[in-house]
Amino acid sequence: MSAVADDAPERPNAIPGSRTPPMGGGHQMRALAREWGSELIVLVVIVILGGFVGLGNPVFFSPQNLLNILQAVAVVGVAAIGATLVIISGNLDLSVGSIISLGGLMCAIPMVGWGVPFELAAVIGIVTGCVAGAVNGLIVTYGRVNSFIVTLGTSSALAGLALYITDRHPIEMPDSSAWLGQAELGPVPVSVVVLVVLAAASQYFLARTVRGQRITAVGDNQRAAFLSGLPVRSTIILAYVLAGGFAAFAGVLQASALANAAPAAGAGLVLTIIAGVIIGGTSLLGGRGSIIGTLLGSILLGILSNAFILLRLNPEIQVVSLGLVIVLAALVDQWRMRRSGG
Amino acid sequence: MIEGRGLTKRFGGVVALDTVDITIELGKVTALLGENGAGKSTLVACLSGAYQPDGGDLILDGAPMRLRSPDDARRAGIAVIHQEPQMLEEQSVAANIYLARLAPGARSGAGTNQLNTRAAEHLAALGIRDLEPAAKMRNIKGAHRQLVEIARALVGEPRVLFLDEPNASLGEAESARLFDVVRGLRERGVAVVLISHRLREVYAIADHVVVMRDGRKVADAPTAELPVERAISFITGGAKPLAPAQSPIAVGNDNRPPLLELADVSGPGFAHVSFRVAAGEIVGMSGLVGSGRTEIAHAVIGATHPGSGVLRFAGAPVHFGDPAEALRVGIAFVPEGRREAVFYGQSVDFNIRAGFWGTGERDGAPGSRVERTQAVRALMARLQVKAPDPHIRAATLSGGNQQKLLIARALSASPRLLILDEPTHGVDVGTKREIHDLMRSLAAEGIAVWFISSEVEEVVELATRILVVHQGRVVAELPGGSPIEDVLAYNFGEVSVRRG
Repeated sequence: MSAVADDAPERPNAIPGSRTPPMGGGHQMRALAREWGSELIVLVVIVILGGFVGLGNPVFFSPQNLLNILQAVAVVGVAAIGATLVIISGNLDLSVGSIISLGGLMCAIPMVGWGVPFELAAVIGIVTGCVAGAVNGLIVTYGRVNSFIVTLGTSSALAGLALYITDRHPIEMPDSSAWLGQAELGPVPVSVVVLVVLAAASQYFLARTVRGQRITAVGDNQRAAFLSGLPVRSTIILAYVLAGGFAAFAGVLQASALANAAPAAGAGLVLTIIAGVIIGGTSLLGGRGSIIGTLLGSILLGILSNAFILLRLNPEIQVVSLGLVIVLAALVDQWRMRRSGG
Repeated sequence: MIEGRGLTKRFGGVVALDTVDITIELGKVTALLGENGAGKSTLVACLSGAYQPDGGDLILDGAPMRLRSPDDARRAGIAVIHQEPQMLEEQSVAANIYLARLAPGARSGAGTNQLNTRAAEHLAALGIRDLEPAAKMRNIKGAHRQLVEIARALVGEPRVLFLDEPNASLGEAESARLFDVVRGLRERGVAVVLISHRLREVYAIADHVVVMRDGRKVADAPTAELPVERAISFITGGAKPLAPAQSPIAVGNDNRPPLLELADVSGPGFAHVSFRVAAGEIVGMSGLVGSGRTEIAHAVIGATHPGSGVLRFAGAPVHFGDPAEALRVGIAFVPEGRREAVFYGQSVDFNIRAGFWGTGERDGAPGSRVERTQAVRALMARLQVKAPDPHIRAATLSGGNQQKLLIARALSASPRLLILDEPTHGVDVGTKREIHDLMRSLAAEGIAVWFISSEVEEVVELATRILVVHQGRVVAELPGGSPIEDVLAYNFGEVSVRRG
């Protein structure tokens, strides 16, 4: 998480020429578990948790409720995609919540103040988020300051800025913005389609493109990446710019869904966003994780909060359960990594 | 007195220590000599509880015993001082010396003033008067760090003290300072075992010499009976003439324009370095750990920044801001420590493919995904990387295979100059030969190869031209196949050993 990370500890080597996995079905299963183990575990937990909630209240299984869950996850999920990229690069972004607020406002202000059409205003909001992300990235890389501190600071600064430019007043969104957050495409809310498409595209970016794979390399072993001639700084900056862009877009999405851009709209979301990333199997040490995992992790948290409504549980306990799920996810992940031999 | 009988240690198929008998006597300084990988550190680890020997016995004062951990050894009066002392940098010298006061079962800690007073007395008893007990550890440099570590080890009043290359990174004056303290320990009846490559300095202090080679003890005698020249021949296994098959391929380099040229370059850790590397050459850079070899390579590729001098690549003056820029013009680097090179959490495939990512998407690297996958397969085959499949994690490979992985990564960038820092450090003999053959064939293809090694034999065998680095300077340039003794002599700054 530091700007100039220490080398990853050398993990114990296995015996040379370790055993070849048998070919055939077993081999494929093992390859699947190796590649997508964390994600499969989250998926299994989602199914089990869903089963229990459904037993308690059959409404859970209704397509409408399932879509509601996804729609409720959309804002956090979109922001979590960007946060995942930063965490995989071995850094942290605590400013995503403030950028959500700012992104929504910088979409609303041009629309209301200058009559800019929604689509263009959304781009203005997103660009604002990218700029904020670039500032984070520049300070982390060129300033060599620990990313936790940097983004803790910018988070506060941007939250204050959002309050300042609006004088603490929320801005009502014109109706022309409603399609993104409120309309449906057939039975599926547009925001859910957007979330899934962005997650799929980002997963492709992370795992298949050069710039995406550089993020994983830098997070795994920053020194190795540097000495191998990878552009470490621009890679980290790119991760922050994307994180800012995704967070700002999440803010636009939220403003559109609520028909209202509030200066503190994203204030309480950081914990949920980072929790979704970690539950999805992304390592806080960097170098390991996936967008699919983050999507599943965010959905798991969405089901949890849905369950508290459907089962009429005490909402205070939901906060407790969020904390427990985060710690449990980290424990399961540790145990899994140790078993797989480092 | 501590004794090892028939000590044997294996790692996988490699025998690191082969039935070694050793006796270490109190009140004497025993020098433990040998090349890197000869088994010195393994022997020390077995004698100090860090490793459990696979065979043989430890005898302490006539009674057999087992050391299950370094903590066991500490209680038995055995302490080890490592090359790079681990310190609490933000704490005072005194707090570091009395770190054991925080161990479980220790009596309650003293106040700051009391601690400083005690530390001052303790240091004075060791003849160390220029260390301020209240100073912050992070301000303590060089030999003084070693002295703090020695002082810390001596709080427990050990009877046997191992010093693992304590002066590797010290200048001569600092090294002399350290050895003064060692003499004082000897007078107090402590058994001191000294591992060092600096023979002249070692010989000035040691009472007894033990030489290791290929995991075996090859010499064991009082210093007076084993002169330096003979010790060197034991260290290198005798100066055998090179068989023709081992001789480096002859590449005419006199007429070639140099690909890389350094003219009076100075930087962090080295000064006034000038040399050239031409396409098709294998330039071997010999030097001790800490002599400045790696620092020169780092400055060339832009990992650090040279202070002065001119660097030319392909005839044009260049200055690289970072290794990415060096890679773009065709300079690939394989770092010394695998720790600072392998992406442990990623697959074999990922680790090799990473070489494509520095050069920019289009220039230099194969374009499509399929082409890159084919290129990775081709490199794996060429380097004979032994992995069950390309998708297993790099952390599960053996050290030798990880090293091949790194070379494959460097080659995937299609470099014109390949710089390898200790390319065969800690790999087995077979892999070593494969890496050597590869380096020869790369040179034959017209790549300029520059490698750094602390193993003199390797340099003599492999290089078409030899550069020797000593204390931050290139002190000699010798033709390939030069006598091992010559190269060693320059390495140790021990020019008097040199014949003719």
